[in-house]
Amino acid sequence: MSIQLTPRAAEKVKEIRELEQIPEEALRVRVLGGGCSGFSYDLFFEDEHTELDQKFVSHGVPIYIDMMSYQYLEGTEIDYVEGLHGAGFKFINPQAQATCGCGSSFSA
Amino acid sequence: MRPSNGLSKCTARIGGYTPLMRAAVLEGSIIEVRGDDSREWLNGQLTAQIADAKDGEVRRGLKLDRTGGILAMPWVFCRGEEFDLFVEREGAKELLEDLDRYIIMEDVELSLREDTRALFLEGERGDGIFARATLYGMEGAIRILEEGEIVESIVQTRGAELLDGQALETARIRSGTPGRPEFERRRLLPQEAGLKELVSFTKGCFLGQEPVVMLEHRGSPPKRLIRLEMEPTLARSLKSEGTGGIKGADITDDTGAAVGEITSVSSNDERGFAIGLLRKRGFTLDTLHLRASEGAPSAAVTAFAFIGEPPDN
Repeated sequence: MSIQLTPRAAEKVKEIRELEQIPEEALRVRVLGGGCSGFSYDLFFEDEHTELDQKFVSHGVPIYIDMMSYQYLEGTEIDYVEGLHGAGFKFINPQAQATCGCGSSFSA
Repeated sequence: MRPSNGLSKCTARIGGYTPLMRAAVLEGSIIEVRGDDSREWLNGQLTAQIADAKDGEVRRGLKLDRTGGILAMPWVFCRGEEFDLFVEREGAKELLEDLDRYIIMEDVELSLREDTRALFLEGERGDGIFARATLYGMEGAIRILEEGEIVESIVQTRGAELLDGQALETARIRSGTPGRPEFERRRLLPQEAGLKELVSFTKGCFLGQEPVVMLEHRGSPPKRLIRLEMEPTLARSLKSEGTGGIKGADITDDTGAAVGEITSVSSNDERGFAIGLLRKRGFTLDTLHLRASEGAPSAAVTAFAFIGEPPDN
């Protein structure tokens, strides 16, 4: 199983890369301890990877994930949503047993 | 009539003489938190504000599970960017394992130092060695003892009285400070335990935050801890002989229906003290009674008081 972006999320990632003038950088996805439910998601751009990283390409966007984070993210789809209460990337994580109300953290 | 919002005047003056200074040795274990991300990571694990803790300071927070239930109430000793969590010996390994689950890619390492002790001195000021702290209502300072360090001379030098384990437990219960007996019996949110002051509602996310914040904005907690004062004979009759545990004792309402239970009890020569858990909301203190087991002295509960803020029902 891999990690995927929805077409809408991929477009948003590309848009942000263009704005930041880093069109070739990959999206680094990782999990950190913290947040209301224990684990929280972290996204940032990075141009380097290690041999221990899992590497995927989704809708033209390269994605790097370290091995530890991958255990918690396998099978995750990342969407981009806009609503009255804000906009942002949404993680649909089959390994999450519960998520907090704002969706930024989860328990596993 | 009992007051609905605190202890009665007659019990407030009861309790015997108070020495100028008291000292206590706390038995515990230390969970060492080391690594470059220690401060930020720990701030996300505990309810207390750790982000701005200064070298030499000690803070007290709660470790919650993800549903907001209290697991432990550690002292957090800040040593620059390193932190020592002083926790009760019992359950320290489980707490370490629980904390360890939440280290993913952070530069944080945890290790356990068992069988450590801390010395609390009432009236002592923080001086770089001792850190200011409050223990069971006593204002003073605390520090972790070196292995084999003899405390008697430190205590005697200051003219303090060293509380033994029984006296310390009595001080805990008398002050209405919940501890392991309360946390083990039922899952308690900070507001239910009267420990809201150990929660920072402004520092940002921490594990278990969501139910705690929701409760804060939605009124009274469903369960509440209360404090009781009673005749010492009654308190002694509530203790099981030998085990030191508690015999069954219900807190009842005016109709005689059980609405709570006793979780901790202790006494000195003059007074008995207990902590109890009310399982439902909506009771005023003047409607509560204690129904002790058969053979216990009747009546003799002189005061009930909510621990923490009184509920608005």
